[in-house]
Amino acid sequence: QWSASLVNRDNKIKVPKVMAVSAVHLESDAFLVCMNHALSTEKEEVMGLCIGEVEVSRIVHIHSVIILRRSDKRKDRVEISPEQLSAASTEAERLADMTSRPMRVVGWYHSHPHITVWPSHVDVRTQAMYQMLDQCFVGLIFSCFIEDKNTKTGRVLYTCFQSVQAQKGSEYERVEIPIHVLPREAIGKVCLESAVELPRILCQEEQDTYRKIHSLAHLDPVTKIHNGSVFTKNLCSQMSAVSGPLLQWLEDRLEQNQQSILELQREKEKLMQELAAL
Amino acid sequence: MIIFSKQMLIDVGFLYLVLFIHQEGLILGESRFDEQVTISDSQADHIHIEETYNVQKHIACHRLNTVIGWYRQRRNSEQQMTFREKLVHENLKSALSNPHMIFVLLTPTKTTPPGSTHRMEYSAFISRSRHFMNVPVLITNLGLLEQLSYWKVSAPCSAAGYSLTMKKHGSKFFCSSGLLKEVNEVNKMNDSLQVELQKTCRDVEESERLVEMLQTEVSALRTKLRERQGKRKCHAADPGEPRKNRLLQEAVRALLASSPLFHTQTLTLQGLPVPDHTDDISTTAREAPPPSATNCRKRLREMLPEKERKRRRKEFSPTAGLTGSMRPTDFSP
Repeated sequence: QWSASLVNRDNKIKVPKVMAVSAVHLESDAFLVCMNHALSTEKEEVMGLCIGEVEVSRIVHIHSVIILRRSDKRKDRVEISPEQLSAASTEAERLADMTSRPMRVVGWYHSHPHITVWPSHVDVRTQAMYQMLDQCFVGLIFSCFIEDKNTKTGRVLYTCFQSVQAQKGSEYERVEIPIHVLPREAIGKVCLESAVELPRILCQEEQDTYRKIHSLAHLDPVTKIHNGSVFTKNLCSQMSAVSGPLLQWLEDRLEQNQQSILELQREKEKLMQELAAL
Repeated sequence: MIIFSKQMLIDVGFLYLVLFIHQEGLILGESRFDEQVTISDSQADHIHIEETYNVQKHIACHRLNTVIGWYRQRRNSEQQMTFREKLVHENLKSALSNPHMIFVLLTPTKTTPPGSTHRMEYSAFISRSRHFMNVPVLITNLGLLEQLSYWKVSAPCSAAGYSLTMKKHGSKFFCSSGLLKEVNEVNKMNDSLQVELQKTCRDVEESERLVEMLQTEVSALRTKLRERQGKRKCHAADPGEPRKNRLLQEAVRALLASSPLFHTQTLTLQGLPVPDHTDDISTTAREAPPPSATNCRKRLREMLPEKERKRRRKEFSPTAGLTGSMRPTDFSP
C-alpha cells in the first residue's frame, strides 16, 4: 500500500521504528528452490521473489518463490523491474485462487556467491525502497561457495533482514529478522514447478543473447561458427550442471515416493484388517 | 578432490535442516585416479596422483556396487570426525573392500541468537593409514567453466583464398536458413531434456499427493484402531458388568450345591418356609400384621422354638445380612 506519509520533508523514505514483521516462516520446499537457484552459479548473483501471506501475529509466511531473470548482471546490482513485480503479483493471485489463501508478493531473495551473507548498503537501500510499498516486505540473502582454505571446509549461510533508518544521518541500516524453515515432508506442486523453471529460464537467457548476436550484420562465417560454439558450450554447461542433476534428483524422489506408496498401501491394508477383526 | 552435484548437497544438507532429523547414508558415484607427471630440467620428475570422487547421489539403503562413501549430518556441532565416525569409516572400508572410501560431514548451526542467520558447513574426509585428512569439495555449477564471450565484430580479411575457403566449407556448418546446424541440434537436445524434466516433475507431483493422501488415511486408521482398542479395554474393566469366574462357580457348585443355603426358598412373612409351591402367599400375607425390619426378627424369635432358632442362626451366620434367595448361578466374586 502506498502512503505519502512514508516520505519525509527531505524526500527520504521514512521507515517505521517498530518493525512490522516479527519473524519469517519459510516452507521447506520453497527453501529448497532458493538454495537450488543460489547454488546454480558462482559467477553472478541470482534473485527471485517470495510469495506468501502475512499473518495476524506479524509473521511472514513464505509458501513459494519465483525465479527471476536478471537484466543487469553487474555485481551488486540486483534489482527487480516493475514488469517482473507485476508478473509476480499475477502469479501470486493465481496461487491465491489455487490455495484459497490471501497470497501476495512478500519478499525477495538473492545470492552472494563468494561474499559475506550480510546485505551491502545497496541491498539495504533496495530493501528500504520495497518497504515503502509494503512495510512487511522482507529480504533474504544466500551466501554460498564460501570455503575456508585452511580447513577445506565449505560453507553456506542464509539470513533475513529488513531496513530501518539509521539513528544518525540519512542512511539505512539492516534489522535482523528471525527466520525459521518449516519442516514439510512433501514437496508442493508450486515449488516443483518453480524448480524446473530454472533450466528453462537459463536456456531462454542464452537463446536471447545468442539471437541478438547472430542478428548482427557483417559477421563473417568464422565469427558465426565461433558464436555458435559458445552457445553450444553454454547450453551443454546448463544441461550438465543444472538440468542433469535436477532430473537425477526428481527421478530419485519419484523412486523414493513409489517405495513409500507401496509401504503405506501395505500398512493401510493391515490396519483395515485389524479394524475388521475388532 | 570431491566433486558434488549441487543437487546432492541441497538434498542431503538442507532437507536435514527442514526435517530436523539426523541422517546417515551412503554416497554413490565414480572415483577416478589420474597420474600427472611434471617434467623439469632443474629437478627430478614429479609424479602426482590426482584422486577425483564424483558424488552423484546419496541413498539411505544399501546398493553396494557403486558405494564410494558415506555421509552424516550433525546439528550444532564441530566440523571434526568423532571417534565413532572414524571407527565406522574404517569398518566400512574393510566391509566394502574400498580403501578409498570418503566421508562427508554436514553441520548446520544457528549463527545469531535471534535465529536470523543460519550456517551449514560441509567437508569431506579420507583416511590414509588411519590418519584422516580433509579433501577439498567442489560443487558443480555454471560458473565452473571458463566463460567465453560472443564475438560481436569480425576481424576483417579481404584475402581471396579466405573467402573461397569460407564458401567451400560453409555449407557443412550452416542450414539453408543461415542458422548453424550445431545450434539447431543442441537446441533440440535441450528441448528434449526439458520435456523429460517436465514429465518427471508431473510424475513426482502426483506421487507426492498420493503419498500425502495415503499418510492421512493411514494416520486416521491408526487413530480409529487405537480408539476401538481403548474402548474394548474400558468395557473389560467396567465394574458395572460383572465378570463371571467360571472356575470358582463350578467349585462352589460342586461343594455346596446340596446345601439348603443355596436353594431357592419361599418364606412366609413370619420367616417360615412354605413347604408347598401352591400355597397362596397373598392370603398368608393378609393375615399377618404389617411387618417392619425389627418386628419381623422379634416375631420370628417369639414364634420359633429354641432349637429351630439355634439351627437357623447356624445356617444363616456365614452369610449374615443376606435375606431371600441366593442361587449358585448368581455367585460372583
